[in-house]
Amino acid sequence: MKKRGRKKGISPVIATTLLIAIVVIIALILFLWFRNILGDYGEKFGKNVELVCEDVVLGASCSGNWIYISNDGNVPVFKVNLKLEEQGKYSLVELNDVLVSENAWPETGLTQGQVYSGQLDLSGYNNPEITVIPILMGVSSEGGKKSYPCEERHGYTIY
Amino acid sequence: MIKKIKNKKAISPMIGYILLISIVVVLSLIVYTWLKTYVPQDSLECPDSTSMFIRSYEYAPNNQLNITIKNNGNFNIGGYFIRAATQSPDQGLAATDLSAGLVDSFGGTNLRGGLVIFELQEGGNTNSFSPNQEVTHVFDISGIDAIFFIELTPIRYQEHESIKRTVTCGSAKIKEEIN
Repeated sequence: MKKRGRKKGISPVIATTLLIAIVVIIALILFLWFRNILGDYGEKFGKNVELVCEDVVLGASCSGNWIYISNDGNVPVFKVNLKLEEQGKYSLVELNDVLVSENAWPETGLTQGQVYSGQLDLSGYNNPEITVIPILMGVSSEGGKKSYPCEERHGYTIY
Repeated sequence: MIKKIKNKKAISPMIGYILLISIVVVLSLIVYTWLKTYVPQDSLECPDSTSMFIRSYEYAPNNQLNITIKNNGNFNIGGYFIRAATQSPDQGLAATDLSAGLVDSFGGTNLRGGLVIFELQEGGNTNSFSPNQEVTHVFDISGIDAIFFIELTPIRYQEHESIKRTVTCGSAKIKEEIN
């Protein structure tokens, strides 16, 4: 039988270090993957943007083809989406895309207490039900500013 | 015969424990920092019984509108946003800001952003309008053809995370039709 001399493995210290490094790297990969599954909602005021959406208080009304939107809460609303719904038809558009007047949405967003009014071009629609859905400006996980549309349940429906 | 294994020392158990604990602590901190943003915090809100109402209004000469406001709530108020519906009685929301027309010689101060406060104070504004107090503010409405209704939204100054913030009392917003 051949002698098994000089068959040394790696040192225990290196083996342990390697094991720990591998575990840490795998844990980080799993963490990043899991975070991506949940989605990058970003932060605003140190909170997840999705939670900040709960604090948005909007008021809205329509008169003729004029729309009025008020920010009655304490969260600045960067932009708004409009969900236009009628029988057999549904679309989600950004407010600026259906404005006919020069009353553009404020560049800095609708801050607390402000009211916006503008004229809509809803040609192709027959008196649709309008839901105003806020879009908030937050800080993305990469650190840059990014706009985050809230969910429809945070919107204000004009009947 | 298998060679006798010598000097096969592992790392000391103490160092092993320290390493394990440090890794667990670091990973927990990472996960905590991330999950913290998902935990709901107290949001900025006015106390429930913050309230004020327009006790009376009067058109005065020189295109002026006098509005008497009373604090009928249980908390002091710092100021208010004031807007008028000038396009149509059906417009639902008042959109024309009247704060720029405040005649401050009769009281009140117009701050930027369409805000009227009751008392401007050096070193930071406070909620100076106390319960049961009444005040008349005068607004210059020249250039406005018609006012169908007025909306007032009170605000309060509140400490939030050690910072004084202006808090809109959206639930205490009032609407008064003007004839």
